[in-house]
Amino acid sequence: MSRPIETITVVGRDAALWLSALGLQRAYGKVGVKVHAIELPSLLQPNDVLSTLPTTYGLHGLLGIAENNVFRFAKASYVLGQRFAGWSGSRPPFMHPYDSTGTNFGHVDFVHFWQKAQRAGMNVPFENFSIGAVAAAQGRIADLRESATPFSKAAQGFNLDAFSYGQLLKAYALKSGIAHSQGILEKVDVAEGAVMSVTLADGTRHEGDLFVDATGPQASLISQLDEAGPDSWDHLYPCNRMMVMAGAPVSPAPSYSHIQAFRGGWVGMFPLQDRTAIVAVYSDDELSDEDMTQSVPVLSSVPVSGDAVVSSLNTGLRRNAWVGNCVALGEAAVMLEPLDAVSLHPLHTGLSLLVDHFPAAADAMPQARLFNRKFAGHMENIRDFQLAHYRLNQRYDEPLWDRAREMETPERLAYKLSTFKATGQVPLHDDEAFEKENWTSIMIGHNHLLDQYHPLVDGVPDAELMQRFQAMLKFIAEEVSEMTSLSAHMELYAPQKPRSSF
Amino acid sequence: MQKKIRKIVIVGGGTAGWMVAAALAKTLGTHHHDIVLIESEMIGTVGVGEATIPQIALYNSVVGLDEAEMMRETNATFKLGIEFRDWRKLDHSYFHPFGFYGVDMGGISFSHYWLRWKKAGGNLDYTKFNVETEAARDEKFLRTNDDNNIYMPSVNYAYQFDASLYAKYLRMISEKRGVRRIEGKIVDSAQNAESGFIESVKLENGQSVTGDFFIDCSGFRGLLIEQVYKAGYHDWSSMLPVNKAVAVPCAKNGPPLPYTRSTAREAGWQWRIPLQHRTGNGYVFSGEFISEDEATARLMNSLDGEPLADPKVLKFTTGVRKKSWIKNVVSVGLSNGFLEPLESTSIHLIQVAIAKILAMFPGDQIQTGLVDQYNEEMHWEYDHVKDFLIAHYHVTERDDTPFWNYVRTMEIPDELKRRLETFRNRGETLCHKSELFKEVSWFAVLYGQGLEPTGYHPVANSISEDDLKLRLAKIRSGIQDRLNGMPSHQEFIDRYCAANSLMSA
Repeated sequence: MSRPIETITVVGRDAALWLSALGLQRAYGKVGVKVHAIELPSLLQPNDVLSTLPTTYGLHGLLGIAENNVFRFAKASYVLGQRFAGWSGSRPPFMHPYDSTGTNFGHVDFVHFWQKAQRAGMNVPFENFSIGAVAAAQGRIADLRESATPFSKAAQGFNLDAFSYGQLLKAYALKSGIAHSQGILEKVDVAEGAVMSVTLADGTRHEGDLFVDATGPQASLISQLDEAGPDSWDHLYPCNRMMVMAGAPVSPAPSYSHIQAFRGGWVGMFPLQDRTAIVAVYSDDELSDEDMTQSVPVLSSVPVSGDAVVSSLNTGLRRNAWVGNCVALGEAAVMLEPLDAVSLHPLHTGLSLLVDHFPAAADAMPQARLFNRKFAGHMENIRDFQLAHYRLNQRYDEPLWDRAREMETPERLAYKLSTFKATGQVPLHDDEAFEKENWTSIMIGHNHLLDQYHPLVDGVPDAELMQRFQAMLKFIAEEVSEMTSLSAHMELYAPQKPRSSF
Repeated sequence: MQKKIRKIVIVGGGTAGWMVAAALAKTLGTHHHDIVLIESEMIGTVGVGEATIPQIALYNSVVGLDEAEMMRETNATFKLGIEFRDWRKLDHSYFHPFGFYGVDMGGISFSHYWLRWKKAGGNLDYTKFNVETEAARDEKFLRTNDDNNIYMPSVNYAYQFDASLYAKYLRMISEKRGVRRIEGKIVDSAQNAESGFIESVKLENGQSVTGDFFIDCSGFRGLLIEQVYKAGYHDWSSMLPVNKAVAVPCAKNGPPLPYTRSTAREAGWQWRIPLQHRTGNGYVFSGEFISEDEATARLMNSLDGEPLADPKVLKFTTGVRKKSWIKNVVSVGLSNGFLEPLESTSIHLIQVAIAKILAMFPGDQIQTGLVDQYNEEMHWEYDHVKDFLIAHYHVTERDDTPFWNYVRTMEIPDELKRRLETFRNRGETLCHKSELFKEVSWFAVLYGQGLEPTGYHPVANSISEDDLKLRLAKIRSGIQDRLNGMPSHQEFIDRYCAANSLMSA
């Protein structure tokens, strides 16, 4: 006779803990499942930043968190895209917007028409045909008028101060009625391939029908069960160090993150309300931590303050994120680079999968296999998106970047890249975090162009094509002018300092 | 029998005289009308660094002035409004901008929506919804007259210039258009025995200048309007008690600010008007509350640059002639009345008089109906500016000197009382359509002086809270976009109208 899940014990820290606990409480608390959050000491450093995609809206919706509160209390800023600079030699930076670009003419994708015009000498970058990209470049937030919605689905993610965001989530979680303990994890009792209980340093022992491991990279619970351990992806990424710093805020507030490639890796600038969070990802083959510290102010061109926090950077996927009665969520399950704003995406994915595949019984959880396969597929797709930046770089004669192009390329990624080049199509799989327009944007942005455009393109007379392009650009300019600026939004929704003069 | 009006005699030069001359020469022309201006080099003009309000652009365009040339010739800077320091209380400052707060919606002014939002806990100052205030803060300027962008607010401005150079510039233009200037000091006048009309004025050298229509720009003394016709004077000094001013230019201490500053002092207020090459300063005070010597010493001690001349003292009585037009004499400028330059209205009142004279300009005969109308309208203009000025003094928290205790507690006109009460209750200013200072100005000054409305117009509740926030954010976006595209005031002057340094030396 099987017994339903009565208690979920979530062990973890920071955002992962509170998101998991709150998400499960919201989903299953109403049918009587008790959620118990066991809070371990934070591993956050003072300047840590989370950079998220527009899907965060869905996550917050699931959790019942008001966007304005996130904006207000997490020192947050809105981001409509990522700007990549210096990834392709001397070519100008490009914006990867969270939006489509251009409109199809008939059944043929816009990119084909653009490429024809570009070959014929038109000097308008691809991104200029995207409301999201133009809006990001002009510091707007994604409040489209109705007239723009058939053309654009511009959306925004958040940059979040990791500590403040964690505090906000904690407040929401505690208010939701979960049980809460805190302490230092002393022991994880495992028997028959399942977690029996966890013991804290104060001697208290906590049981549960289902355990969630939200302990971050330490993977304190799942590592007791997952004998295989995570698959390392370190051989796919060229960098192995990470540094976090704080820079002065930029005014007017940009609504994009800036990802600057340099000889030894890249430096990301993530605007927040009170600062520009800076994250450098680099290889110790190319430069020491000390050299990196000195390079950051030059590369970021904002005044930098405070200490640099350095860590080693490892990537990899735990193929058995769910073993027995223990599900790893967040960094306990997968480690990615802090590129492409996927800070919360793995956690969101895992949490959604767990909610969808919630175990019916406490003593047997066959869903684990399905969960693991889906989760792994999803993470591989994100990984491939990150790797595409490296593989497509055009920084020649720099060892790190030459290596980044030549490193092993997962088969599915290789297929995406070659298919796009040959046909302009993006072969998508199930569980893709990034869609066709995202892939198209970064491939064109990195100058990975089509070998030939679609034959139907020539059916549109050149004069008509130019006319349509111009109409599109004019439309975009008007729509973007009507969008709210991030600075204005910040003033209205974030705490203001009192003014000093008139 | 009246003579046909062919010869117009302007009595006195200065800003008023030459503004009249240039406007008449342009609009009436010098073919059908003989326009003569009599002035004496011996009589100084009261021209100091002077600030204007945006309406001057209308005068300039009627006269056909080229803005950049005019600014070069008068060492002019742009003016976005006035900063009022220490008026509400010490260490407080507010800005009275040209232009608008936000965008009016649903037939009521933006300020009501802002008041609603503030009551609901909104934390962004209303001043952030005015582009001129923001630009003034950042010392930026841009001329947006030819810019048709509907997403960004346009920038409203006036000038700060050397009024004596402005008069000189207008003189040059007037003379080119055929205005005759006669040098000389007027010592007497002759009236028609029957009609009482002035027929001629007599100069010190014995010369007699005849005329059909006389415009009295002779300054405070009112050579014809008062000395001949005894027009009488409404004395407003019980409500506007300042009666002296001491003025001095000083060296500039940095790039000129795109605004005028008025700092409340112990017995009046002090102006600071930045020009391209120097800064004009003056302390307007009440002789009843501070001596001339002390006021002068206080002014000299507060300069932010080396004084460039000896301080000059002026005396005046605030008020207006009971009649501005009598028979064939119209008084314009100081001869017609005096209102302290707290809101830079001196030149404007000249301009209003000119516009009205032109509108009612007599053909063959002077119609008494038009004369009465003119007198009523001019009085109305002065009277409403007067109320606005009184509000600056009366609505205050200052109680640190006898002067401020007097103005804070003095009796004020009933119409003004009603306005203050209505503003306190629901943020409305009861402005007349034709009033010079509109709702925005009254809001800026009353709120700035510390009168915070407890309510607002009920129509402001008609939109949803989300919609309100969205609109506020849009308005701010437009303002920020505008600001981001503005160069510094100095940069703009350098490329648009930098004065010739040889002339300004």
